[in-house]
Order: sequence, then structure tokens, then C-alpha cells
Amino acid sequence: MTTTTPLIELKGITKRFGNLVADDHVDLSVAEGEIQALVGENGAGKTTLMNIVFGLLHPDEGEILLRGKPVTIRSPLAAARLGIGMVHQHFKLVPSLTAAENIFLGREPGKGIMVQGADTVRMAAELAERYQLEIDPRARVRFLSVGQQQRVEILKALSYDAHLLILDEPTAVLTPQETEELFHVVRELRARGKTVIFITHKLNEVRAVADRFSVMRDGKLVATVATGEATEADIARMMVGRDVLFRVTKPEGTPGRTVLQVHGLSGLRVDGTPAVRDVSFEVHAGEIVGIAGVEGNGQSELAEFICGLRPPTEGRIDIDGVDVTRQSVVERRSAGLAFVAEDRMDRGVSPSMSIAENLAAPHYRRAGLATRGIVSPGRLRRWARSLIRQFDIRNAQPATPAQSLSGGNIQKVVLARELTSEPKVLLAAQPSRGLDVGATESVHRTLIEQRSEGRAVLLVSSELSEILSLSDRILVMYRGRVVHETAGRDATDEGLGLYMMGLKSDHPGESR
Amino acid sequence: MTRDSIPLDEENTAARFSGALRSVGNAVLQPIMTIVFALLIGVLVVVAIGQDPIAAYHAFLFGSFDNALDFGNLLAKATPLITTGICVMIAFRGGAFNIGGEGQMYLGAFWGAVAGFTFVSLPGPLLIVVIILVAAVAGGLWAAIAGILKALWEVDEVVSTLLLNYVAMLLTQYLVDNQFKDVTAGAPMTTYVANQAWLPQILPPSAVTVGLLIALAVAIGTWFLMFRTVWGARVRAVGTNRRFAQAMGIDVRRVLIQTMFISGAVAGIGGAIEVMGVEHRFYQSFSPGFGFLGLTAALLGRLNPWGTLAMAFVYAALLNGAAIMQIQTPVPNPLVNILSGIIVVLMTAQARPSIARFLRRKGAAA
Repeated sequence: MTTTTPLIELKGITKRFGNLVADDHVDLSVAEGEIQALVGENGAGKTTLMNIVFGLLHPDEGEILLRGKPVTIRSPLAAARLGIGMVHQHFKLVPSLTAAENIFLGREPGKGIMVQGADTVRMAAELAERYQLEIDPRARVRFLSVGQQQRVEILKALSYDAHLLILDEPTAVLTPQETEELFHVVRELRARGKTVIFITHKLNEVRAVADRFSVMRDGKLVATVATGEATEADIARMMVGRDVLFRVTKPEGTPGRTVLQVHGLSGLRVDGTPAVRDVSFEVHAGEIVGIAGVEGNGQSELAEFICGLRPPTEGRIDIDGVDVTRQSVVERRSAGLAFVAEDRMDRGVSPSMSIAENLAAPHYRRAGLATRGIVSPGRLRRWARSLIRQFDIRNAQPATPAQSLSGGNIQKVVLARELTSEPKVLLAAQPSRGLDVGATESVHRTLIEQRSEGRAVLLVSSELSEILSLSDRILVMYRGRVVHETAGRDATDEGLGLYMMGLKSDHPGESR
Repeated sequence: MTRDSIPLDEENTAARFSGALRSVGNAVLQPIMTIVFALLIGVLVVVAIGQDPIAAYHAFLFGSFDNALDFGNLLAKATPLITTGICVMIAFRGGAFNIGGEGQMYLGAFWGAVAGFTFVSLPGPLLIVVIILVAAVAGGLWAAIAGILKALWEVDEVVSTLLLNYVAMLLTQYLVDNQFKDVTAGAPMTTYVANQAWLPQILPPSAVTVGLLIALAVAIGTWFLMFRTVWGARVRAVGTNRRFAQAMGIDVRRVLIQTMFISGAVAGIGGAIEVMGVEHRFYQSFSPGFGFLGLTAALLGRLNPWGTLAMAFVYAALLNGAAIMQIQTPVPNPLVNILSGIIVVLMTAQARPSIARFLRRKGAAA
């Protein structure tokens, strides 16, 4: 691979933001016609590096060689002229325009101010045909699924005749099926001689699609390795800088008394259709119960019913022997419930408020942070600082806005807030969603610790590996019902999969 | 790894102080730029009507600072803008737009006046406190109507507070035309409030009174309420992320209604200050739209309490300067209306970064 001149070569690229060195003398080489994954934890400098290649940022040091010739990429326009295209994590499409109009935005064929709409559509269709990327050129972008929008973005990049396509965490927003299709597209592009840089922090994707991968850590390029020569564990070690435990070792559990009891619970979705149907289960002290299922089978609603954020239509919820079905969120919290909401930025934190205020929100009185409703800034700051230290929240000061933290650290803020009140029950919904390996491992360790300290943990997750590695007992939800229950140690991927897809049920009699 | 080793223990007082200074600077710098830009456009207007812009602007910008009288009048004009601006700021922090400050101020002024000529036997300071409380409750309840409508039936508070302005003005007009009319006066107005409730002037012969100090106290009290109390933290949680607030166990509806009440109460206090300080009675059309001018001040101040306070003074300087300019030069007073219009348009220039990004993207696409 090194005998021919690489398509693009970065030499000693350094980029600083104030005191922070985002990229530290990075050397990277990408061969023509390969798919190279660029992996690393959040904040390792991957996106910054690629923004430099795409001309959005300018390096403080170093040079870029394209086919062996040094180039200066001043702007995305210059990058496009050099045949470099990039699909960003957050799409940059105009929702009210059609797919074809988006692809040729600003370059519409036609004379003067008259746009030849039909030509645009024809050109888009030809382009889609050439790369076998199925889209409807006439469809308005706002009606397209996320996966289809991504194709429009890819086509847009290709329409500039890009040789090198940079995809920034393209799978973060995709369903598993869409991810598979994307992999297919990427391989297809390679077959047509394109070169692809694929940014990700998911290890299985590296194995699935990349020829080689480069690992970044703390702004430095650690290594570039052929995919065949590394296991997922190797990749994870390079990313994090130490061994990563995929299956967290957990001591044998000793379940105690029943702490959370759900009986005959039913309830509706926002649109009024049934979400949860007659669900009953118990969670004991010192036990992790995992609720598995393909997303959208009632797990989110179940969590909201238990937290008191939405009222169920039927059934009963007891926390430590107290019926809380009709109680408010505050009453449930004081009965011993804590919860990690499934979307951190939605219910987990108020992004623009300070870390201290996010931590303190439900605790002012209990933690003695206020007297007669008046907050003591000093006490709040010291209290927040001790939690920041205890939960190892990085780059955080009490006054820092929550939104300036990485996803993993925001999740630590949420966990710190929820666990500082020493709850009896912890409900964790999708606790590691969108987190990199290191952060996921830390969340998992925290959940195991909670179990060892005798709390009842209810884990709701659509990530099967997470359910399997953590749960003492597993429940599978399908169409609002619990269709299967099993001990954690007996469960396997394939076994649970059949229940998750509705192909098997413990109670085959009841359907719809 | 070096990034993680920031010492967490030391309190860096200097850094915190400069940080606070910077945040105040940021709160004030942008609106000042907006105003400067509007003034530049104003130069074109003055030139277009064939007048000397230098003379006009000299009177306009510096007239207020020439002597104690004009400066006092500036402070008098700032007083109601402070309260109506703070009123808007409070509601906004709780995630609601209160553009009903005008109506809330009318009700506060009216019921404050009624209290002022009813409890005539009370001693001065006590009567002033009673008038302020009555006005606060009147303005607060009026704003709470919009809060309740929103909390229970999701009625858009922008529409309801706006429309309630007219209801409030017509209601007070009706009352002052009938039951509460001073029959000895030629115009629709109430009788005078008791003499001991007339706020003393602090820079005679200018119009500024102790009312300015009351307004400043309200502004400081509001800052304390919003940023140093648990209630304020709840309000801001609701204002920044309602679903988060819910998950923290905050009763979002109740907080919303309370926020609107407090917001309206501040506007009501502003009305009472005008009654006790300026006319000493309620008369219809005592306000040239202070509620709306306060809205502009709050928006210019980026809905930050100190920014709002600063912008109330800046805006008062513009209003006062325009009056002086009209006296000293042939340029008519409505120039200030043109400037306000330009300022409001320029304030929407917050969209600028996204437009720039859009243009850059188009550039990349070309």
C-alpha cells in the first residue's frame, strides 16, 4: 500500500484553539481507492482534522500533499475543486427544497435567473444512477428519512466530482438497517475508484467496512493499521490507551427485597395509541433488570410512566412498598426513585445552565444548598465541585454551562445528580447512547456499583450487548408487552433477537 | 491528559471577576453597536431633510448631559423603562413573552391611585408601601391571566398579553370616566393621592424622584430573585428546558403562572411610581407606551438584568435627547421614532451568523 503515492498525505498538522491542542503534529496518509476509518474517542481531534482537509479550518502548522503535491486548502470551495467532498454529522440541506434542488443548489442549470427544473431532476437522477444511490430527486428533503437525507448529502458531494469523500460519523443518526445500506454504498463507491475517510467511534463498523484504520487519541495519531490485523479489543485499547472491558465483570448478585413493583401497567403514546399493555414485573434490591427490545415497542413510555412524567391508563407502581401511581415526580423522587432519561439533552440537563445548577436542580433543600429558599452560592459551588471530583467529570467547573461538556461527561453530570441522593431504585434509559467506548465503560461500571450497593436498577436499552453484559434478569418488550423473561446468564443475542422481532413469545395466546 | 489536570480547588477570584466583567461587557457591547449603527443611518435622514447633522446630533446625544435639569429629566424617563424592561426580562427567563407590560402598568397605576386616595390616614412611608403592593397585585393578577391561559390551554401568551393591553387600557378608561372620575377635573382622571404619598424629587427642578431609586431597588431585587433563590433557579430551568424542569420535579404550570404574576407585578409597580411621582393621580394616557419602550430596552439588553437596566438608561437618553434636539434645532422629534424602528430591525440581526454560514455554504457549492 505504501509503494504508490498516497492520494492524500497530511504531515505534521497541528491545530490549536487557545490553550487546547486539538491536533498535535498529525501525520496521516490515505491511499487511492481505500476506505480508511478514522477512529478515536469524542474530542480526540478527528473532526477538527477533517475540517482542515475540507478547508473549513486552517492548520497552525504542517502541510497537506495531494497526490504528492503540496496544496493549501483555503475554503470548502477550494476543497471541492481539488476533488474533496465531506458529509457532515449534521446535514446541511434545505428542508423545503427537493433532493435534486439541494444537490445542485447554487449551480442550477439554466439561463440567467430562469432555472431549468427538469434538467436538475434529470441530472440528479443520472448521478444517482451512476453511483447506484437510490433517491427520488423530486422528493422534498423534509419528507425524507435520515438515511435518505444522507444519500442526498453524499450525492451532493459526488456531484462535484469528488475523489475523496469524508464521512463524519455517518452512522450516528442511522438505524441498523440504514447503516447496512450505507456500508453497501461505501463499498460501491470504492468499487468505482473513490477514496473514503470514515469517521466513527464504533468498533464493529471499523471491522465491517474499513480496509485500514487510523486511531487518534488526545489530538495525536496513535497508529494506522490494516483492519485484518486487529481485533476490536486492540482497536479499543488504542483508542482509550488502556484495556477496555467489553463485558464488565460483575460479582455474583444477591437480590434482596422487592423495591420496584409494576403491576398490570398499561398506557398510551402521545398520539393516543396503546404503548404499554398489561406489563408486570419486579426489581429487587441489588439486582439489575434489563428491558430489551427494538426501539418503539413501548419501553420509552414505560420509563415515563414509572418516573411520573406521563400518567398510565391502568395498573399500579410501587416503590419500596408505597403506591406511587398517582404521585408527582417530586414525591416519587423522595420515595427513592432516581432516573437517567433516555435523551440527555432533552430531559437530562438544561444545556445552557451551569453544571452546578444542573446538579442541584432537585436537591436544593435536601442537600442544604439553600436556606429559606435563598441559595448559598458558596455552598452550591463547593457541593458541585465535590460531585465533579467524585464522579470524575472532566473539563468541568461548577459555573461551566453543561452544553460545553462532551456527551460522556454530560452523562456523568446526570448520574452524579441522580445518585447523590442515594436512591433505592435507579431507572437508566439508554444510558450509554451516543457515548464512546471509554464513557460507556464508565457508565456500566457505575451501574454495577449501584447494584453492589444494594440498589434496584432497571436498565432500559435497545443495545443488546449492554443488556446482556449487565442484567441479572432480562425482559423483552414487543408491541407494548413483555413477551419473554429470562435470567441474564442464560440469554444470548440470537435467542433474544427472536423475541425482539416478535417471532417468539412466552405467551403466544395474547396478541394485539 | 494535561487538559484534565486543571486544579479544581483554588478559587481563582481574579479570573471569576474578569469573567463577570466580560459577561457584562458582552451584554452591553452588542446593543451599543446596534444603536451606533442606527445613529449613523439617522445622519442620512437628517441630511436628507436638509438639516445640519452635527448640530442636531450634538443636541441629541449630549443635550441630556449639559445641565442638571436635562440630566434629571433623562433619569425620570428611564424610571418607567426600568420597570417595564425588567417585567419583560422576568417572563422571558421563564420561557414566556410578556408584551403586556403596558396594560399591567395601567392597572397597577390605576389601583395604586385608588389606594392612594382611599387610605389617606396612613403615614407617608406606609402609604407608599401599600400603594406599591396594591399596584403589584393588580399588575401581577392581570399578567397571571395570560399565564393561566397558557398553563391550562396552551393559549399563546404573545397574543394574550398583547390583547390584554387593550382590555386593560379600556377598562381603566371606563373606570376613570365613571365611578372614579374626579368631577372637578376637566379631563378623565382620578382625584389626587394623599399628599404624603407624593414621591420627593431628588434633583429639582427636574422631574426625577425617589421613584428612580424604587425602580433600581426592584431591578436589584429581581436579580436576587432570579439568580440567588431556588425559585429563580426553577424559573430559569423552565425557561431554558421545560422537559428537563419536569423531570426535576418542577411543576412547570405553576412556575409559569407565578413567573407571569411576578413579571406583571413589576410592571404594576412601575405604574404606581408614575402615579406617585409624576401626576400624583391616575389619568388616562399617562403612558406614551412605556410598556413597549421597555420591551425594546429589555431586548436591547439581551434580557440580562444588568443589560436591561443599562439599556433603559440609554433608551431614555435617546428619548430625552430627541426632545432637546427638537427645541434646539429644526430637526423634529420623530427622528427618534425612525431610530427606534431601525434599532428594532437591526436587533433581528442576531440571525447574521447563520446567514453568513448559509452564504459560505452557497459559496462552497458554487
